Amino acid sequence: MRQLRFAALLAASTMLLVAAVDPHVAIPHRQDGMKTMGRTFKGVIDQLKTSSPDAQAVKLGSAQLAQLAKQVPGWFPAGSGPDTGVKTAVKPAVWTNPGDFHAKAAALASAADALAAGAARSSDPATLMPLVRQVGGACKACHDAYKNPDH
Amino acid sequence: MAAEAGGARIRVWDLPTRIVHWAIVLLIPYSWWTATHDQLDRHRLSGYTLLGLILFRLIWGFAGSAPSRFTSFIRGPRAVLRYLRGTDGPARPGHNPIGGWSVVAMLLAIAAQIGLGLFAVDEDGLESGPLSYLVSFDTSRALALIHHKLFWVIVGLAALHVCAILFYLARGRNLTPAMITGRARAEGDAEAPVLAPLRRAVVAAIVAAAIAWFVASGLKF
Repeated sequence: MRQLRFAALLAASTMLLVAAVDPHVAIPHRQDGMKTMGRTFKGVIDQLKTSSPDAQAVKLGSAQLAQLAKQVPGWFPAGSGPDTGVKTAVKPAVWTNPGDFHAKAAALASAADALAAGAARSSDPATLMPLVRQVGGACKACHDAYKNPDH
Repeated sequence: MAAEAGGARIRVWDLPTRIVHWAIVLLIPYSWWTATHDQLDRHRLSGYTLLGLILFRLIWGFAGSAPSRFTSFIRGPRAVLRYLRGTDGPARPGHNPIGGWSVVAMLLAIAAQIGLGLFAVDEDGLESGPLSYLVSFDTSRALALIHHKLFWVIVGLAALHVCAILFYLARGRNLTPAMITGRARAEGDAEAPVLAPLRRAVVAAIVAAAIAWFVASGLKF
């Protein structure tokens, strides 16, 4: 009985959470987050492309990117999919295939952590570019599976 | 037409112009294929090669053989109208007044496409043109989206070009062999145009390749 009451409470609160998701807020929030990640990542890459990268900028940017990467799963609440009327490139597979989606998000988080750890020690492009490619590959793996291309 | 068919065969398109033409024909589909199959290293290389070819063609438009020079084939609206009415007089070797503008449109579109690609970045921030570090992520993305759209404008211009070739073919003039062999039958008593010496093409190619290399390296030595 107690378990049943708990399950009912859990179901009700989940429904409340879903109902509380406003796609007009959640979708722009996700898009802003993704664009911030893109800007941050590009800032790091631009530094690494120069002959003498700014070590502080590389370190800070990589740390910010690692923080942002951890937020990615939270940017995909149920109710922020493609069927809300708000324009979004997200595919419904995010919610029909959550195991794989969260695995890919976790892969991004760990790749970004590895880059941040590397950037904390060095700003040498030869050392960091392989880590950058890992992060970019994680972005791409998820986009290929869960995002429609931009038009 | 019958009288023209009996004209002497003269050299119209020099070797450099033909090489540039057919290299573009090969590299545009190759660029598209590599871009859509995640082979951005090859896509960039193809773009740099096209950059060199277009730069060469620009130089050749001022310093090349007579039919390849812009001054010989960029004609005003009156000449275009006269050509459409069939009162432009006997055709000179090379592009006709409409074909000349088609060449200008294609060269401009390809040049713009290369320029956009140099500044573009993909949505993952990883694959980027060598000059993308000069602009913000948002600008870079906006340029990338125009880069995607402009491709279809180039496809449209190329389709128009092929349609024009087919149109003349249907009217009994096959223009393609001239772009392969360089020779065409002279219309009327047209004189053979003056062709530029090959050594001048070598110099132009070296200059074009050097500029393309410099741009591809991100404007850094």
